[in-house]
Amino acid sequence: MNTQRSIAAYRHLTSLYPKSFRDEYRDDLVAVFTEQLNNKHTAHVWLFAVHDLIISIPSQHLEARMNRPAPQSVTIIGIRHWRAFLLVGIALLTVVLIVINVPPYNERQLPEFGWVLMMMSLVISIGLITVGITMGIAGRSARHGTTG
Amino acid sequence: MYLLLALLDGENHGYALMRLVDEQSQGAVQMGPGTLYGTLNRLFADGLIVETTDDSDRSGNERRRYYRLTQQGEQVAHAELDRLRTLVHRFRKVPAFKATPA
Repeated sequence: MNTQRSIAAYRHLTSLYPKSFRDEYRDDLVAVFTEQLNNKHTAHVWLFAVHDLIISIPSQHLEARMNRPAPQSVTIIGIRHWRAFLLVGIALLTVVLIVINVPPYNERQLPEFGWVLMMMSLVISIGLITVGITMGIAGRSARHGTTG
Repeated sequence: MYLLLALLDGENHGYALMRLVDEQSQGAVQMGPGTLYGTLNRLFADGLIVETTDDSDRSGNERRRYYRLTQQGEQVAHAELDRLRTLVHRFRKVPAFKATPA
């Protein structure tokens, strides 16, 4: 691989860095890589560069993610997990409805605490579904607010 | 830390710093471009270095960015040097430290 192709290939590979890092340092990365090519054997430089890319790309992504500002004021942990709330709520509701309505489950005589448990589960599942939907809507509004 | 120590000699650009670290560590630490600029970026964010590209008259490659230590950066680098000196001084008396590995 000649020098120009190596430089072009390396420039392409730097696209794997997060945008903020890429925008700031891409030219510098390529400049250093070019200087290495001028001073060392191409195969050695590539071996070294690939090793460096494997190490530094994930760490830069992690750093970029950690430094990303929280989206506006709606920063409850669960806001990003509204689907989980919704899913758990629906699953629980399904179980409760099956136990209450569908044979053969409803033919079994539930003890009194069993009914209490079913009612509590019903309330919790409806609560979870409501929270999930609310968070989903809030998250959507927040995203539209930041991008729009 | 190697970068901070390399910058104690004065301002320098990325590639020169990479070579300095290689020399000063006697080849034990070899940084690639990604690791180098990732570390410089962190040091910059922590206020330990500043970019000085615009401050100087550069003959040659104008794309190069130069970096130098801030006052805080110098303090941190000197504190680390002191820590290393103290460590070596303390362990100099330990027999295992004197023994050369086979």
